[in-house]
Amino acid sequence: MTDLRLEREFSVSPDRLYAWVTDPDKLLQWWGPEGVTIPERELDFSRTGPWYSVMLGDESGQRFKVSGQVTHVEPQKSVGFTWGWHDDDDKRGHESHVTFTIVETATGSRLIIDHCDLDGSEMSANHERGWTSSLNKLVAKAN
Amino acid sequence: MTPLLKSFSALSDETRLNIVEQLMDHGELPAGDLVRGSGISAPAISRHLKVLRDAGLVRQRAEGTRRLYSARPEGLQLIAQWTISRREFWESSLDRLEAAILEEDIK
Repeated sequence: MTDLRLEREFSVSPDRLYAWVTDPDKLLQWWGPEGVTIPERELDFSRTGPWYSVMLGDESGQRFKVSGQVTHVEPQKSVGFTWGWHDDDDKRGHESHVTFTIVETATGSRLIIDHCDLDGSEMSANHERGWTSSLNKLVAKAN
Repeated sequence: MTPLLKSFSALSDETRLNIVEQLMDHGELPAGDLVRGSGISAPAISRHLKVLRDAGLVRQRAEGTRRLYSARPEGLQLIAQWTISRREFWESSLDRLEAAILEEDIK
């Protein structure tokens, strides 16, 4: 599986941006794709501990649950948490790791989102690297 | 098992992954063509094809006594969707964050 990195520039100060990505009320305003409501959640990245969110597709009526633990909080700089989707039987799947990093820029601040896989052992890491290339090939052909 | 897990577990075997790749490259093929050059026996190939069919990745069509196999795009699409979903989640969330910040700035 590939690691994912996304970056976005904002015209607000690092502390303002930090509040936007950690405060429960602010998080709720942007969490998840368009067309999805969040009927249940514990979305607080300003402290370590458990978090979860249930997303409901407005049109599809599909229910998605994702949960994890906030593992580190460094005010104004970064937040880290684990991430695992639940299946229809509420069984939690593969765990990955997300980090929000905030960097000051000349015009405001930049948010960097890293979504990486946590691997228990070197063996599983190798296994997944093997998977990546196979899957990439498949996806390239399937599209 | 969810359909996605079924797809992954079906493809987590080199022979089966090769079969699907061959079918995507060549289109429809009889089982005999998949056996040739694989170094694997016909009964074994047939067992692998059954796993792939159960996972919805391959379909079978009868033409007289021949069985023809082809890749099933819908099954493979499921995997493609899964690999892009994380990026999409964050991309669209970031769009909303940007909009929310702009809106608050105006107030």
